[in-house]
Amino acid sequence: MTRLEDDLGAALRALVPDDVPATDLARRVPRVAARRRVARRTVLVAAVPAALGAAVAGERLLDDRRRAAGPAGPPPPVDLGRPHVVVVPATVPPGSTVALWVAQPEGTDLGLYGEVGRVERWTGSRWVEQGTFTGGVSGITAGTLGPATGVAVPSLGLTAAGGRGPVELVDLAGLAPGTYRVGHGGERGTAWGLVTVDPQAPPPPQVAAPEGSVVGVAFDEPVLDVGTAATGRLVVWEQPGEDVPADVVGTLSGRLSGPGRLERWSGDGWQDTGRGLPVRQVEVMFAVAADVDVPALGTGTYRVVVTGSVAGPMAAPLWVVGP
Amino acid sequence: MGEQVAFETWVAARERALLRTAWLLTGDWQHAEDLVQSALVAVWPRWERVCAAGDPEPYVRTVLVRTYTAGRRRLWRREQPSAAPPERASTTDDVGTVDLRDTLLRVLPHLPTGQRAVVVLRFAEDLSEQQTADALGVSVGTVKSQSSKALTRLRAVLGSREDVEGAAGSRREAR
Repeated sequence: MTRLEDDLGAALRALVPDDVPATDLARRVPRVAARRRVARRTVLVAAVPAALGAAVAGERLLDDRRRAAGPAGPPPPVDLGRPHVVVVPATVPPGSTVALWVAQPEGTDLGLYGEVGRVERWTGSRWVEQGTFTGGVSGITAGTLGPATGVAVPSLGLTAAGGRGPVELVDLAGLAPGTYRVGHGGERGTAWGLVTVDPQAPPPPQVAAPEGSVVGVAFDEPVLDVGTAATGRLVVWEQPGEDVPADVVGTLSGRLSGPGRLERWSGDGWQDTGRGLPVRQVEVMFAVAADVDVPALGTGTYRVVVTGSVAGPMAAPLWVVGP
Repeated sequence: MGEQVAFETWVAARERALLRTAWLLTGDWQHAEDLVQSALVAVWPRWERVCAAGDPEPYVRTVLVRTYTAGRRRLWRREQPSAAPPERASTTDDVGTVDLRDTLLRVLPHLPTGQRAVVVLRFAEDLSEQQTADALGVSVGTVKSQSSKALTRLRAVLGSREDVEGAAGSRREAR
């Protein structure tokens, strides 16, 4: 054997995380098997009247199968003790855009693979595949949902550096009311987060740049810890699809100036907090950027509005989260 | 009822081992638990006969890996293959400090289903080629070729022999 084969077994066994989950498989399996037998028997018994065209028997079959499947319940909660996806807001009306990012509770780096994530729908008893999503990684524009057979982008490896991945905006247009989970694969398995589409939910904050913008502005690290002041770096980006060369973006935005206007999402609109934030233009190759001193804030969704000397007012979203 | 108690006792004793194998096949605990449950649900109705034939573990493991490979064919677990595993973005300069375990974490999800199953059974479970072939329901020749392809791919990603040996050496030194 070569050295690789010598080392492989131990290396593979060492890959498995130590936190093997506690399960009740021993008791659950006979129950699940019994339920499936009942469901199969119900189908067989009902097949004859169904073949005779008895519509009533067909209805009874459906009722039996519904009973066999058990009552619908809420989805299992996301395990916040392992890498998971934070979705903000977690409940939105149909057609909304949400922000999401991968959180690693240990605060260490976590490798994620590709920009394509998974979407699954909760049926009341299990998750079924719904499709894929791509995130608008820059925070400027929203990614969209796609079919389950979407093509991954292997060369774009994202990392939840320091325990937090990049913020992605995802337009949930096309998802019917219901509960979904969105997930990103990674080196510790798929990290999941829940989002509910509910027609009665309040509108989410508008966090993507307004339609028709050629350039927009976003924080490099737009998620802050509650009660912690930070200096955030704002960078001007071209809107995807606008085909603006990187070295022309600055010309289209002009210099950024402050003070930045800090606004908080109140639930139905942006409210000026009355706080002006210092904005300092910084030199960055092929881009226009500025540093902004953000004070300690309470949890919520905020935006900082700065002015580009050419582009005019531009807003960069910020999410302040608790521990 | 005695049969159920025996089943529950056996599962309670072996579920961690089964879950660890399933984790290597699926890459996360949730899917690993789903996979183990599916395998056990298939085994439970014939538990008495399985036990009568001897140690049930090889049989359960066989069902487990076949459920995995069949499930992958049905896209039970969507995972998108790519031509080459992605490079992990890093905030540190880790050139020259290749780590076998870290590289495996990145490469394993990108191995085709059959190769991944062979790698897990042959190396993590330490089964012989014949036992692996029996578990997967394929010929020994197929196990050899799948194993060879997987190792070739792993070597290509791991880089030169020196890197591999260096990584193994640093791991041993770290312990």
